[in-house]
Amino acid sequence: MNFPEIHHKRTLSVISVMIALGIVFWKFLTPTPIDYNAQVKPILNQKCISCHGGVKKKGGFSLLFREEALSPTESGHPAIVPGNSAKSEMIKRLHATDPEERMPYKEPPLTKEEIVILTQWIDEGAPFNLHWSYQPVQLPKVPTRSFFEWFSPQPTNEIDQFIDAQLSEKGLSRSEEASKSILLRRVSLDLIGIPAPDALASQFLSDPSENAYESLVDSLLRLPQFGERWTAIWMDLARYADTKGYERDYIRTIWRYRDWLIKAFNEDKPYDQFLIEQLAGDLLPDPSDEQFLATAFHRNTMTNDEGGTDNEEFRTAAVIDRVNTTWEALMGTSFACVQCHSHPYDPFRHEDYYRFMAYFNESRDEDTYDEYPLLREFQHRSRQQFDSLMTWLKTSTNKDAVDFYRRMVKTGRPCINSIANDSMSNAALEDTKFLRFRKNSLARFPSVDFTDKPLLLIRMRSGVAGGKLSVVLDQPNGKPIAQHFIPITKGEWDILTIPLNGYLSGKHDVYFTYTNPSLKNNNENGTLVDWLTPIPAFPSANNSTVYFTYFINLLNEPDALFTPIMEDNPAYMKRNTYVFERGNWLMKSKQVQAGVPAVLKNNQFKNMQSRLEMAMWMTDKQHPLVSRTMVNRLWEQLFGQGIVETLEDLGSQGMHPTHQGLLDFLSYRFMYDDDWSIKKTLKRMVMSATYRQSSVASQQALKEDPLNKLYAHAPRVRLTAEQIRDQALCITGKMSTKMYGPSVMPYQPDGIWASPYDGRSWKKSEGEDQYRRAIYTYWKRTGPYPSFISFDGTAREVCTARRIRTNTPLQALALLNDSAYWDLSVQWARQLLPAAGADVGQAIEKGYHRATGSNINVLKKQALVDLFSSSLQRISAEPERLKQLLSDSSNQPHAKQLAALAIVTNSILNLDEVITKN
Amino acid sequence: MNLIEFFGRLHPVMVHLPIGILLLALTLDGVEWKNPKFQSPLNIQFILWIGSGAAIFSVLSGYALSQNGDYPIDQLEQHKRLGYITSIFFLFYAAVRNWMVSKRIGHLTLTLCGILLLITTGHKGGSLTHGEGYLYALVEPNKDQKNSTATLTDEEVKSIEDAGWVIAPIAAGDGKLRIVGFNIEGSAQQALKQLSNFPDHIEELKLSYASITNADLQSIRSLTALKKIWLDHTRASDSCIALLLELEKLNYINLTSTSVTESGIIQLKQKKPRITIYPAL
Amino acid sequence: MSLETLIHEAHHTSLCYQTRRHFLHQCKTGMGAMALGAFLNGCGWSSTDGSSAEQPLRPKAPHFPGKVKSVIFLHMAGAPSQLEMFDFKPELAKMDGLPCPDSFLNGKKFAFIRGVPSLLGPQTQFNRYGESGTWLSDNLPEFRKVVDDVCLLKAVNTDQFNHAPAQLLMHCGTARLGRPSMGSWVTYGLGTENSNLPGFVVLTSGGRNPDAGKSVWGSGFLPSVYQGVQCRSEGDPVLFLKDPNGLNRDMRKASIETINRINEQSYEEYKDPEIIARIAQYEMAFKMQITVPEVMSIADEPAYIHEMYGTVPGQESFANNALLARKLVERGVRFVQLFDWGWDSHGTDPGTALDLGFIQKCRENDKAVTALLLDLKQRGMLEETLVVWGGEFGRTPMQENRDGKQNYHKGRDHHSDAFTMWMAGGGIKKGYSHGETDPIGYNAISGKVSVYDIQATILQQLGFHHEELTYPFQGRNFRLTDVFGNVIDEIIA
Repeated sequence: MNFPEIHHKRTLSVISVMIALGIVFWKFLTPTPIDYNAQVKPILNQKCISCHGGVKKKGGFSLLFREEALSPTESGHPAIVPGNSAKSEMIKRLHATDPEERMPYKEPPLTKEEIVILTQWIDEGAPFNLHWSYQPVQLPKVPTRSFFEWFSPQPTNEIDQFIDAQLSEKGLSRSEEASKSILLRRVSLDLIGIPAPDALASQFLSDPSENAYESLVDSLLRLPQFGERWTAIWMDLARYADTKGYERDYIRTIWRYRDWLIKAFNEDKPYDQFLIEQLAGDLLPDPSDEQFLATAFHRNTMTNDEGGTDNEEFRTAAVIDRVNTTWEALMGTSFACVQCHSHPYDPFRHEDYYRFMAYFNESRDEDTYDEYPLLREFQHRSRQQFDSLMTWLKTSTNKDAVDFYRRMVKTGRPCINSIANDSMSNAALEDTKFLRFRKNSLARFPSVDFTDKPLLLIRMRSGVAGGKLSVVLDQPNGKPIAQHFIPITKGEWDILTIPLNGYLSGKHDVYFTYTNPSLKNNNENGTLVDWLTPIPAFPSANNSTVYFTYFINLLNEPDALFTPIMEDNPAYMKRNTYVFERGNWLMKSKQVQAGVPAVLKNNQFKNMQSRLEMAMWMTDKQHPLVSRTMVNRLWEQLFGQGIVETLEDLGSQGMHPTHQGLLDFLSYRFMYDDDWSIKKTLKRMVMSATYRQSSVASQQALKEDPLNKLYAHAPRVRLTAEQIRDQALCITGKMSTKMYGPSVMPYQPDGIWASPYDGRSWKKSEGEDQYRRAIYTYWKRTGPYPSFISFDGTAREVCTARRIRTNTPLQALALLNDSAYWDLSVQWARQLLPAAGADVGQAIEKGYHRATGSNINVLKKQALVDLFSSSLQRISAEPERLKQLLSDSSNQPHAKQLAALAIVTNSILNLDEVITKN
Repeated sequence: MNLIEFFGRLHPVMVHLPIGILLLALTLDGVEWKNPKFQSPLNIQFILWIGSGAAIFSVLSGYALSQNGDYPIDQLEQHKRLGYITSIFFLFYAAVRNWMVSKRIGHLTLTLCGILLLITTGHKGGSLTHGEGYLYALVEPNKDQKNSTATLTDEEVKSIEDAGWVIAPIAAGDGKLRIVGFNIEGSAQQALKQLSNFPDHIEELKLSYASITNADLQSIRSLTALKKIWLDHTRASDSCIALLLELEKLNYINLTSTSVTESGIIQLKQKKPRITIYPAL
Repeated sequence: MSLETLIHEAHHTSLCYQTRRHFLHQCKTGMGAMALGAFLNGCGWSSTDGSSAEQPLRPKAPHFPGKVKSVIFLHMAGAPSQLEMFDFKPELAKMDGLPCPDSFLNGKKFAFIRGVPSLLGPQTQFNRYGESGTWLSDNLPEFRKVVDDVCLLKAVNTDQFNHAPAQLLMHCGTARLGRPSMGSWVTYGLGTENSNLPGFVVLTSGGRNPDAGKSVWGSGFLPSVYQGVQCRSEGDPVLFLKDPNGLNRDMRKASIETINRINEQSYEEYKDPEIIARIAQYEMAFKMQITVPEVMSIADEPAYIHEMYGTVPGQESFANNALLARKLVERGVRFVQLFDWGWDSHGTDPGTALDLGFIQKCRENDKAVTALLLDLKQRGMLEETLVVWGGEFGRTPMQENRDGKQNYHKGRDHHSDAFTMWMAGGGIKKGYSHGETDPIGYNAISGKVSVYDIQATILQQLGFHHEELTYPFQGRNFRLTDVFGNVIDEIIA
């Protein structure tokens, strides 16, 4: 340009000052925009929404959601025309003078100020500023390529278009595709948690075709290891553990649930179905064992066995945990804070918490020692008995009765646990677990329903003869409706069948009087009671007595797989749910009915009272949080951070999404196009060029976007605790492919398990069980597997929606020194040594390739060769170390080389490239 | 960067322009009031016009700055209003000044009001950036602030850490440091020398378990602010006593598990009876 | 590029890159930001370089100059009987054997007492000791020597009467799981002065872990670097600290150097700052392997020290742990938590009888605790260290009648309304008693303090306003003392 320089500068400065002034004045002059939440919502809520919102839509007009408010009313025109208050029927009606016309109908008119606010709000476009995450997912516009993006690598799907759009704003562009070997390792670790099987790997590497990658992805998704990898994630959410937690932390058998998860992921159970079964499988019609097992999701809450604790307190704690977990894990909302007060930022009220809690408050479990109700999966003999009982029942009685007996045998419901007794004399709740009768003792169970139930079953055990039990209704000294002598059970539980005197009806307080002349003093122990229940008369058809015996045997069958499950109270045992003042369970205030927060209400679901309806509401496509939460979680697993980094909170207190459009896009596709298929969604993500790019960061990207929020390169993410173990097992060739079954105990240092009253110890598993995938490792809450904890595993006491990755010296120590890893290093070295022949370099090349999937470069190889030589030298100088280093292998021919190579393989297992996804 | 934000950030610089200009005008005007014969070498009204213009500009930049919302609302609001009033007042002043000069009371009122406005607005602004009571802090020294020492720069921190020291700040904002030497490797002498660059900051020096000798310690002589020193489990011996005696502010010396003898400690105790010395005898 | 340069790069450039970046974010944006920002300002860190995220344990400035730099918390898990140690109740002796008045039982819940129990007089003699004339029982013959250095809190109150929840409340400020423990809060707030050692160390004795499990030293929602590291007096002091059998230090050094050499190259390739952090952590691991066993070994202590504490090297005992606590604090560990299991004196067996096992337990504890205080004092460490002693609750003035049956041995049930704890060290009044219970030791009649007050006071001594040491989680700022707690000004010197 040929402007004289001075001229040029002056013009520039004048222009810039004018622009600055202009902007400032423009800011000065424009009125402050209306704040929907602060100004408009209160008016609508107070004056309009009672007729125009939710259930009522007078005149076909609703103000609950924007799309409703803007859609045509019965008149055929919308009542609100955004940006034009003059044309908006709503505003006209506010000004109207005819009382039939004017709104609010038959109520005082709005004030001038209120009308001004609403008018201005409509002129400004009538925004409903609900936080984005509470709005149903809609398909956003996919950004098109801008001019500049033509220089960046080609996108392969819409994900890349979203990513590119934001990258180009910063002047960045996506990186080139990563090498095939890197990609192979990355996608295998991501999809199946371990390196791909050799056959798959070589097939991919040797396939030059365009769709080699896609067929690799498809193959990986079909592998059974896929389910194991994703189950690991879900176990954190479900707070899965093999113990009950709290002080005593006894064993819990719930691994059937873990196996259910693996199968569900492998068969790609649609996510909505996956959730419905876990939340309310027991309420589905004729639930299968598998559907019952799914509900163990919410039986992973802790149970307190400590003597003297209040079972109701810990039952309540478990219910609260279910609410918190449901919201945090499945709806990305930190609902827990509404427990004490209304949510300060998000539209959730204190009462909403307890309304929601009501869905879980009916479950039958009540912190009992045996964790009733339990699903019984019968084995062998009892399986046959069960089948024949069912066949017999079907021919002998009506469907309701068959259902009743099946349910009772399968889940032990209904029954009254001994902890339900509320008054006793010389009886005691032994260790707060079972009811203990002593000489001349009395115990009361309040309001037991006897309608049409002439039989009383009592599960008890007794070490002394001569006991007699009398059953009296309503008052301690009335006429007994039954009297029964109690046999000795020799320390085994038995079920007493006590016929009652005829048919009774209604609810009664039941008094049990126990007398036993053979007891010497008042303190001597008599009978111990676990549970009791009145039941209807058993069908009287052929062989009735045989099948009744089967029935009782099955109820008391020890040879079954027991898994804690959810099951609701029968109608006559309903609990009430109250708001807890300031979250204190002892300070019950208002009683509430089950319900969901208004802001998430879905008009298709009216008067939802059951857990099943709640589950249907959650998994409805209109629910804004469920799909977003899951898609965000899947993204985090692949990319190291969520699109909303706070997986546990998508609300206004969480972090802002980096790519909100993308999250919505993926959530929409997840529900509407992929029918909630996790595999399809994962495939969509891993097929993107964004996923496939190299993880090498350019200087520019480091400078412009140091946190890699925009994905100018693939993230490098340290593997999870589970992946680190599994990968080490895989590359050293020790991995057991056995699936399912009780948890196992691989090597663990002594002294990790130390809990009061617990004689149990960690018994190292035998054979291949030592080398099974991490998800099968026994998880004791008070003493979790130590090297998992070092790598940010969680204690599983409560749901953990997100593991925060740390980088600590304790991790280095675990990988360097944990005997489990040293053992693997030696075994691996033994495999590599023969390959080496004379040249250790070859063994190192092979080992490195095995661990990273890539070829070693000269410098790295030199470093490892140097380590080998220096180690060999040191070992040769002190050959007595060999025995310690190699234990049983110390006598083999190349023992020194083997030991030196083990130091090398141990170091390879520690390399950043090996414990990180490149 | 956002243009408005940039413009706003100029505010702290820009405000001084009208303050200076207007103060000059007010001073000249004051002199003229006192001594009507005084002939200002400068055109006071012109200066006032320029000053008011600058004041308006400051107000605009201030408004832009206020948009980022980092300031306490109440104080901000006060300062903002005062800013508007001040700039309008001075425009008015400039307009009527030459006419008003003839009326002594009016003239005085204008000048005094001007001074008052300028000071209050400026003070409110100062409080916003430096915290309330910033000005009075000088008048009545605040207990918390009287000892505060300038905080170290990143480079200074790095220089200390590079020498192997761990810096444990004693409390937020006072700049005083506790220096800990558990992780010192290599030459302790060099490391100690590094510390002598910060004589005002270092109040506590924990040399426990460091491998140091009396000779290494020589450079701590310059740490005049030092109040506490730990030499426990080091090779310090009696000959470091003279050195310790030089440190005026010391009130705690720990010589547990050193070669310092009982007589050395007695000597210390006699010279400095108020100091807490360990091992206690 | 030399290793040193790499490490510095770790300090200054990369840190904002962390995987802990959310932690960083929270520090910068939440209210926690202000707390952390304030720490950093203290020594010239600008709040933008993110150093704290790189080295979450680097020392940070408290709100005001703290009187102490470290805390030794001696937790008597199981809850010792205040009535046989500190709280002398001559009236209760007179009422021994009488049925407990209804007024004490109405509306009360007990762990094991059922029906109407009898009162149980003190099972030992009391006398006054020290210049302060403090009452102490014969079960504590050694403690007399230091009674003028401690401050007794005789009316501590909790609202939990089962072990696990009460221990959680004591250490984490809530009876539920999931919150950070006191030591985690302190290391989060202050960092550590010796990066070759963990900032927060836990030592257990009595053969069992505390009832509440590892949660009582867990980091809750704070990053896991702040959780307590359980050191063991048998086996590896820290898990996986020892090299595999047969590997010597040279071999380990060579292997760590090789790992780091290769990792440096990976950094050259990927420019991922996390690699630099990893290199630093491997160096640190190597240093810890040397430092920790050295500190955790008491074998080299002089005979008079062993005599004083009653320590036997190589055993797991409270005495050994007390000595280790001193050694750890001496090396800059910020928070040492000792759990001594075995104080649950129900009287269900001789081991838990107040006139048998309990006396033995007192003696062992007494000797080691007294030695610890004397040792800290003679080393000039008591001025900078706060020692806190106490159980999770106290014990009833009534003899336990489990399930309505009087226990055969003399024992007491759990009692939450009033019990005794003590503190000693920097800035705490010496030879002072705060609070008083009624004539039978059932309720506080003056100077009642809650568990939260104790926590607030501990933080105060370290230089924190307990209400301001916060961390944002689940949409709000959490703190150790929940929404409670007052500093016990009366006991501050």
